[in-house]
Amino acid sequence: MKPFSALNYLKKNKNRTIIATLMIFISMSIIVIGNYVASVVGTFEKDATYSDNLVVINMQTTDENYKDFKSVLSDVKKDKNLSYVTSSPRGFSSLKRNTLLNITVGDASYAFKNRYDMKKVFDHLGIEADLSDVKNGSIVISENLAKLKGIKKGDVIDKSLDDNLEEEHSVDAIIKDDCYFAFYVYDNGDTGRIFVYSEKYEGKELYDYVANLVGDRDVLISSSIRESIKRNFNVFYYIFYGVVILVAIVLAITTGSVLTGHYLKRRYEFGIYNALGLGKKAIKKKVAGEILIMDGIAFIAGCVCVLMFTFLANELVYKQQGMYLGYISKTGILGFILCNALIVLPNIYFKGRKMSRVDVTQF
Amino acid sequence: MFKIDNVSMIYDLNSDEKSIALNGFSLELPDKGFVGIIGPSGSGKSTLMYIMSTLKTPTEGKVFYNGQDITVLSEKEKEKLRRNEFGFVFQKHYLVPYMNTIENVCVAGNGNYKELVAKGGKYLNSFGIKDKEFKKKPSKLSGGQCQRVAIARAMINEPKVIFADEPTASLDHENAFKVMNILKEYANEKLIVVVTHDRTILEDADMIVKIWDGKLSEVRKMDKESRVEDEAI
Repeated sequence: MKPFSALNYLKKNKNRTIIATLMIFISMSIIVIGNYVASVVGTFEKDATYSDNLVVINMQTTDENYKDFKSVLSDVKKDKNLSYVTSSPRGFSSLKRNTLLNITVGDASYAFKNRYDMKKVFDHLGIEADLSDVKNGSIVISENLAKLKGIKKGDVIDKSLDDNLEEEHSVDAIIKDDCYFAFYVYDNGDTGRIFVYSEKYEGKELYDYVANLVGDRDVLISSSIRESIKRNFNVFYYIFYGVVILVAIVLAITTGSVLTGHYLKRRYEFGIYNALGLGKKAIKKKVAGEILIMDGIAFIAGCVCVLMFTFLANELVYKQQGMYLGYISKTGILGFILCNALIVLPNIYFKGRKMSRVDVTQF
Repeated sequence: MFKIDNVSMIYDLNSDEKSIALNGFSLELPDKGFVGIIGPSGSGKSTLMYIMSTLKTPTEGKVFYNGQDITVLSEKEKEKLRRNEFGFVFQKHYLVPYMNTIENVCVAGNGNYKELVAKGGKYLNSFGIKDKEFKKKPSKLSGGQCQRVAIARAMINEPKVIFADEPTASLDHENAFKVMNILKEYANEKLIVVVTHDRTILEDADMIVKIWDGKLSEVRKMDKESRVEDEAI
């Protein structure tokens, strides 16, 4: 190994390297925080996907004789591009759940008139379920939500379990799906809602197609919940990136002062490099190399720790509660890159510049 | 080799407390030999060495090295010159504390590292430093050994000029003698410029330049055979 190489310094100054590496290592916690934020938002992904594939047309309370609603239903029936099921106008709430960040949230819910309608929609959404026991008054939930709420198939649940429940419902099917929706079966003979879906369209295309079909008739078309999820959870991202910047500033200052201490002790070394003509560029490269190698070590060690932490947290805690912490997320990676760049880049620039200017004649 | 033409160096030029280190200094040095620059503390002798070795740029005047004015070179060209043509020995050895002896010698060496190690080893052996000491760090060596390692470091690229600033100031008499012998031997082929205020170490100098108050006070060239002063200015 060449004596001037960055690795040579780090190898021969292990204690200093470990201290500086530890400071940078802390920034890896940003990945975990990012994963938490992304995991919370991610639990709504299935819900959003369902609502992308279904447009719900509701009658308006002002439409006293259901005139507009009935005419829309008639047009939906006639349209060869669309499939549909109808249901009661009565709305049901989903069950409340706690997220990984211990925030109580509620998801959306769908209520169908019978298990056959439910099956049609499930088939369209790709949900596999045994609905043979489902009857009027049933609730169908996912395995995750069941674990989270501590309920199992056959249980009868009511207000004592969740404030959102207005009456008793029997849990007659549990689906293996990542969603937190509640699917109800309820029929009182009324029709006031249409679930419209299509093999041809989905997402905004489907919504626009249905909206065009409805025209200016007085019904309410529910749009995808994706936008409202984004709207409601953007605040998490703002907080997260705020935290990232704060953590980065604190770490940049502490790491910077640790590194400053290291480089101040080495002023003679860099002064003599300058005198011997090793060159400013080579000195800057050496400083950058030293910091980047420490950063790399911190990153690798951090990745191992993040993976281990996530694995243990999922296996020992979250999976049993019906929750899941992602191993990697765009949010976590972006946050880490931002934090790491704020810590490492100024240090590379300023320390490199300072050390390349050390003048041996001043000693 | 060196022609110093009317060089002045003023520190803190724009402040009220400016100090004149060199004042219209002119001098010519030979291609090889042992040149001693002597003068009291603060006379400007170190400044002269720094200017000649491109570590400092004069406020006024020119320094020609092999016919080229080195005061106008870019920083990169100066670095190249210091790396390939000049060597440095300072009052303190300035060895890198975490590097061992041989690494310190080879740290700024040009070319293949294995060849540098072999060459550095030969220098060290010839300076009385044994192989078993090559893996030792400077903290495990004596002051005299450290200074000899520093000389080997200065010689690793076989520079045409070695600048030595008070190279024996922190050494005892015996070690000072050893260090000066190494430098004198190198002066048979190349140029050694030694800055000192200790006249005793310049006994065998081929040329002695006296500086007083930033000005050239006296130049004495010695005849090698007879050791007789053959010129005085």
